[in-house]
Amino acid sequence: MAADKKDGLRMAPRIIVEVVMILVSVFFLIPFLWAISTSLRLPKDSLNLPPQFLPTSFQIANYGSLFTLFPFFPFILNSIVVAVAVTVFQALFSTMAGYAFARIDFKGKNLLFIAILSGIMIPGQSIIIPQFLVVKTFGLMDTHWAIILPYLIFPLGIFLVRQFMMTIPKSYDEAALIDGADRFRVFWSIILPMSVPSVAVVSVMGFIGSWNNFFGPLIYLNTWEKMTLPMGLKVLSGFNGTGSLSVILAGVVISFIPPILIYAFGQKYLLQGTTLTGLKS
Amino acid sequence: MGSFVAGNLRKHRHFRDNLTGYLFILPALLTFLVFIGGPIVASVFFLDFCKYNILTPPVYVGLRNFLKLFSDPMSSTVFLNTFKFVAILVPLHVVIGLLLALGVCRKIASPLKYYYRTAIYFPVVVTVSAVTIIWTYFFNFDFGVINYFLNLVGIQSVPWLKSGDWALVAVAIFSVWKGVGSSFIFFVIGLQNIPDSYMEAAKIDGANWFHLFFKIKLPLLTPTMFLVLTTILINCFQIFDEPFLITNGGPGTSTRTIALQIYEQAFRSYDMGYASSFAAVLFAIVLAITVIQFSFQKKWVNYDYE
Amino acid sequence: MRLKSVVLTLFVATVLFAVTGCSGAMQKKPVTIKMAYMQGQSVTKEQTEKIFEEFTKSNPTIKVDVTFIPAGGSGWNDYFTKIQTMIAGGNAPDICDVAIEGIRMFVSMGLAQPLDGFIKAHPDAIGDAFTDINPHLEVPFKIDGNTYGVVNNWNNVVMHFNTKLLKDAGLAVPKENWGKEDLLKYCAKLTKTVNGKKQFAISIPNYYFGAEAWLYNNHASVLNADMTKCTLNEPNSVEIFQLWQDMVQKYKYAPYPDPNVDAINQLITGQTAMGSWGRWPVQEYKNNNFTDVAVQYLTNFKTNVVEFGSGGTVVLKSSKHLDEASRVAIWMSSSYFIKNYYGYSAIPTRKSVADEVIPAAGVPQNYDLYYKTAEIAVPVQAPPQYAVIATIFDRYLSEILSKPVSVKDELDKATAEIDAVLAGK
Repeated sequence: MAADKKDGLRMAPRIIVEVVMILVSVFFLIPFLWAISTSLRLPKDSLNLPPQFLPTSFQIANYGSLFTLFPFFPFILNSIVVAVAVTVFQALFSTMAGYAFARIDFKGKNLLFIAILSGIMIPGQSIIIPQFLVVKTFGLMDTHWAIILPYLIFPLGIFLVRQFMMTIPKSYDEAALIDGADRFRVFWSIILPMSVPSVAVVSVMGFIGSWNNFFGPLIYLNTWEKMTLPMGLKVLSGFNGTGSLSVILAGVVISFIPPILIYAFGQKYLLQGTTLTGLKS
Repeated sequence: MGSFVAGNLRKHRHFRDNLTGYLFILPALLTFLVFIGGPIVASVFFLDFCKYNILTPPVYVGLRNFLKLFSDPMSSTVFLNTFKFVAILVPLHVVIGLLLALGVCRKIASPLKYYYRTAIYFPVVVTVSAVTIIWTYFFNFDFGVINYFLNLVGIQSVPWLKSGDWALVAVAIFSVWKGVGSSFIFFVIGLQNIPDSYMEAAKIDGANWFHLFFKIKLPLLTPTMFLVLTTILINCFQIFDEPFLITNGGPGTSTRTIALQIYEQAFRSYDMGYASSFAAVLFAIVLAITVIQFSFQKKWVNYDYE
Repeated sequence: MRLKSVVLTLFVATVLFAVTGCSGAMQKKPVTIKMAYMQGQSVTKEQTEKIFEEFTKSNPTIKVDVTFIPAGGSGWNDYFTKIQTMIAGGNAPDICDVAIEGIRMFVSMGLAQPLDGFIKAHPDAIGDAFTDINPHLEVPFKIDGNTYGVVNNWNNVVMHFNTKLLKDAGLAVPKENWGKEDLLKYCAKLTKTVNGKKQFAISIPNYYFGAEAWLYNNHASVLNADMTKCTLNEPNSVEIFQLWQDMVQKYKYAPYPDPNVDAINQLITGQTAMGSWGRWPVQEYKNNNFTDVAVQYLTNFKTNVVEFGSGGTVVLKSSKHLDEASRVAIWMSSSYFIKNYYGYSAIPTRKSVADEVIPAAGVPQNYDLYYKTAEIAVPVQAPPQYAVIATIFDRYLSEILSKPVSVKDELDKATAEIDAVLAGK
């Protein structure tokens, strides 16, 4: 009885919260709607006011001219190649290190863990110049390696995987080790499969990081053929000759597709895969 | 005899554990040393004391870069701008992220939940230079979408990217739109990890909404809060993409940050030494703040429930 | 029979070997010349490679590897930064596209190779270039008596008009030597709201090249004549900056020039009626089938100086194949190359090509203004420190246009900053 009354009283705030949440979600989505509908408009109508958030016409031709006027497809391909490489190797390195830090006792473990973890605290801008010199010394300027290798180390990822693996009882390793399996087998066929959620989280974060990487290509890549999407879109938006915002926005819309797929794949793991035990000092 | 063998075995095991341990961390450690550890040492202890333009070998110049840094009026501008961004963005990301997480983690239909989550998190996933193209058109003074609607309801056009103060606000709005999803998702995870039994018990005890939030949810969320705060602080101190793509540091110097200054000195003027002195100061600031944060965390971060 | 054929084969082989061996000694091994060019022109990489097929026909031993460098929003500045990064990173091109904005920097850094020796030794390579190209245009690439490139394209700055908007306002394209009063009159008539759509009269040039053209017409300039001191805070210069500030803030004739908004597109869509550019908008006019456009000299404030900038292909000293590189670089000033590459994006430096290409493009309506100005045009000021100075310039211009600040105070600060750069501090 009392509970019922309470629920009745809560209806009003509930509706308010729901309305606010809907408005908020519209705020997050409206730029995408505008981009999609404008990319389908005649180039000369692209800047029209009042703004239209829903398509008013369907000029698929804008997407066509994107590919004929501009080497757009290679950008997407480059971005995918780089992002996949970063994701796979970063996840592998992070899970291996996370496993060792969580489940193997070795000399200097804590010190090394703290050293690597301190990488979270180092602003990328403070190390970009020596990093540039390393890339240059290795002769990797203007290659995709330059935007893969420096990004394979992901301290936060190591931390998250370690936290997750620490929650798995040690008896799993012990039993397998007594049965004669070696550490690598234990890692690969027992602990790793159990840690899939956290590996997925790290992979999604790695993919997003690489997919969004603007600064790296800005300083490491020079030639057109090597460009990834973030720089490509920047160039596209300053490019005389595409003729209009509609065509540029067609490029913008296409760039949304891979992250949509990644999100659709990763979002369920994203929520179950992380136990956020704190950064204890 | 038996114990001797066991001891030997244990020793052997220790040795092997050491070795496998090192092998497992080797790839991460190596990339760490080459791309983070080594560079930070080089930045702080070497390059900032040099004059170096890449084409000719570095020359040791002592404290000259730092003297220049502390006498150049541009330095105080970029530090001040960066502090402004930190002061605006850190609370916004934390508070809005938390509020949105609370708004989503309620007892609502799961498709709706999925929709909210996707809408809020999606901007995090997309390429920053793609969405800045959209937002600069939204912010445009004379032809922009936002000012159009403001005018409709009788509000004068806001000089979003025209005035220094508003440009800061515009970049901040964009930054929240683009990035609040990451703190949001961390808080969602944090909230989901709170066992239902805690809440049920408190409800039976007759706790109201206010009590539930401040006495139970918030303390349990402090570890998440700490992680979010740490990463956002560092991200804000190195804010680059947003001002670079939206305002290019302008108008004038009003959104020029430390990161933009480093980029411009290093990769436009090729004054690697001078740029490194900014990098070193940036590192020192972030280090100091992190140390303070960690030393205060015992006072407010609650690890009891783990 | 069998023996005979063997002997014969051996004989033939020997002869062939002798012949090829001999010619091999005379002909050089095929070399690859890496060419870096700025993307942002209207021709794609594939089309450029196709243009070079013509070169390879007559020079089968030289292969040209075309590399396009994407330049973000800020044009030449970004491009030069990228070239410097390539050189620093150890993968320098052999030759690259350089505009007036960068040539002195290349020379002062010791990166550019003088071409005089090669030109003298190979009159066949240069052909009639120096009689076909107006010598004025070549001036920026002649530094301390050396020739660092044969210019193949150039741009001046003229006023572009959306003629449809002029007609709607009852105006015609102004006459040559139109003055400040005329400009303000045009602005007043062209600023209006049509069917709820804002229409501005003019785009303010928010970039160094376009802005200095206005200064020139008021007897002002960014730097003094020998480019050792900044003169931005002198009265004539302050007057122009004040005019720009007033046009944006006081009269609202001009939108605030948002670097993210394409001003040329605004002229096409009718959001603005005038803008000052060279010939590079023509590509965008063509893409949009936009023909309601005419050009006229910039407003004559105190004088009519036409500013220009030219560009050519520079051979980098670090190239291992200087002769071949020079041959490619000079071929890029041939009629064939210019005609196919600079059809829409710039004015060809060769008069014969300009006479053919410019009328063929059809827009803008009175296009003869383009090549005609070569005789009187004065180069934009681009000292070795151009990139840094242009960045400072842009910053203060955006400050002045965006805020109701004192123009004189800001230009005093800009002058001090630019002077410090010129003094090498």
